[in-house]
Amino acid sequence: MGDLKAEAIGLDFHYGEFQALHAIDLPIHENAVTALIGPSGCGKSTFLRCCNRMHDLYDGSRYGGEVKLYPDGVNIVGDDVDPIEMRMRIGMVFQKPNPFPKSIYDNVAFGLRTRGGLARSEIADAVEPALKSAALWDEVKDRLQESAWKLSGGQQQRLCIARALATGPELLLLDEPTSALDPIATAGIEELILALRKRITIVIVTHNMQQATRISDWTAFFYLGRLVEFGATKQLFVKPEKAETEAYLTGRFG
Amino acid sequence: MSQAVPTPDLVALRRGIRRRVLFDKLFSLFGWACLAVGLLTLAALLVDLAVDGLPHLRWDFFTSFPSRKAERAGILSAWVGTVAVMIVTGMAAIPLGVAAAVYLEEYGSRNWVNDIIEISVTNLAGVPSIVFGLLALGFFIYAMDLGRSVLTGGLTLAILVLPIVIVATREALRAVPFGVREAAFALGATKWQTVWHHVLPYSLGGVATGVIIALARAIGETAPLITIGALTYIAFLPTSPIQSQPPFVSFQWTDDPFTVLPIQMFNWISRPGDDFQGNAAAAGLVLLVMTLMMNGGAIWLRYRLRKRIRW
Ligand SMILES: Nc1ncnc2c1ncn2[C@@H]1O[C@H](COP(=O)(O)OP(=O)(O)O)[C@@H](O)[C@H]1O
Ligand SMILES: [Mg+2]
Repeated sequence: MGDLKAEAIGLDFHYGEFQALHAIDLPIHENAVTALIGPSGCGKSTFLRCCNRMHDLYDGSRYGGEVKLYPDGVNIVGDDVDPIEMRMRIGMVFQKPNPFPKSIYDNVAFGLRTRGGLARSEIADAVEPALKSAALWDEVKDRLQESAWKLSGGQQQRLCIARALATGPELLLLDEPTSALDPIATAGIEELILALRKRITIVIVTHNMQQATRISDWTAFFYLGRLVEFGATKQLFVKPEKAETEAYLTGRFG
Repeated sequence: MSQAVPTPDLVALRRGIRRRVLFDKLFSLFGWACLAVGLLTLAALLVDLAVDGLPHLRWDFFTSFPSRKAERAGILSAWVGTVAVMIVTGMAAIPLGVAAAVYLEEYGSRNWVNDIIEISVTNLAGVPSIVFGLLALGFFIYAMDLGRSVLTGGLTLAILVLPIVIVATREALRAVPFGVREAAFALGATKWQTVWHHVLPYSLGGVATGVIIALARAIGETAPLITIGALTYIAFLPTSPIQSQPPFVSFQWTDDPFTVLPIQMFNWISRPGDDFQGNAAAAGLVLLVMTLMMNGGAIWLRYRLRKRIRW
């Protein structure tokens, strides 16, 4: 299933004194969906936020090991790597839809505007395809200047995906993007992920195992800050190798 | 249908409920009485001022300079002085205070230097205003030689209300949901881009309210201005900022001597005899209305900004 887009190698992460990730080795396959599953508090979000250096915003965060981003092989968590460059190259969508309290158009345009040096028309040209890729265009094309806060929860989340896609990220990180949504909106997002996965590499955190089986190609099971098992989704769900994975999948804990 | 006969348990239960409900009523009565004391005092004060002052509130009162004759004395130099000083205060305190708050809230990391700055800012808000007058006398007048001018007065009040602006702005910044910041950072925005495009616009209502409350505090301050030697009798206006000759604008007014409404009031109150008491009351009413209008403006602005949070 293709090449690697990214790869964690011995990744450690500390919140101050507390070590939240222990020596994570995790390959991220290109143009595929990798699901991160595991009980709450096991470090899924922490891992995801290492991949775009979100932790740098808070004091006391410390990385160890490497997360390589291919093809250039830059170490995302390297001390000499600019977190802003990493955030520009890697998109993220959060658990709770968080559109800016601005117009729909401005939401999608913001990522491009932060780059500077782009003409108004170049930005305008990028907004429509981004909204189309996020399957939102038909619903909002007549009200691009309306406040994003007037959209429904599912629409807001697709807008957040459009906002992340507008800058053409190399990797898209989704942190439980459907956990604040109703089942219909959730189905919409899942459909969207399936449509996107041939074009972009996606890492998604989910607490919903059915969701992982529906949309992911690869699954990583985290437990207590460690990566317990990684494998092709079908394989991992049908025949987990580790006892802990099996216990979690059969609902014996978590 | 038979009449329900309450068991002894139920009787006791109901008696207990009645007792506690009675206490609720008593307390709300007590609270109401406390509130009434405050409101009545304020109302009495207002009525008293209005009775003494309203007859003097004619148009001439606003367009005349102070005078030895009470009937002819007005507040022209005082209200113009108040407006001029407030402009300087606002222009100094708003950018400084907002920038300081943005630094403390968004840029400063937790370390001992920033902790000391924070504690100092909070403590400064509690320093008696006359102490700021002394500071201004030593710094603006003796050290920087700015004279007893509008500029000195405005800057004095600016440092006086700076802590209020900082604290209110920080509060407003803190009310911005973290998701908005993270969304911007995740797109590769710098701190400045995040603050400028998202955090500040989002918190504008709160910041504006804080600024106006700070200015409303400054407008009534008397002690520090008397300390720096603001004159109590001024029969001329500051230089007009707009001139008929090029370059058409002039900042000479910041260099001019000034008086303000509370000082004018104080001057009239401290005169022997009753002649000027009515003038003082009228000036007090004007000051009160200016303050209330600013507070009303703050409420209106907050309401407006909240309604169209989209920009
Ligand atoms: N800001 C933080 N400071 C300290 N500990 C944290 C912080 N955020 C998360 N943690 C801890 O790190 C561990 C992993 O958290 P997280 O990655 O959010 O779990 P998950 O997303 O899998 O539910 C948990 O034990 C959590 O308590
Ligand atoms: Mg999480």
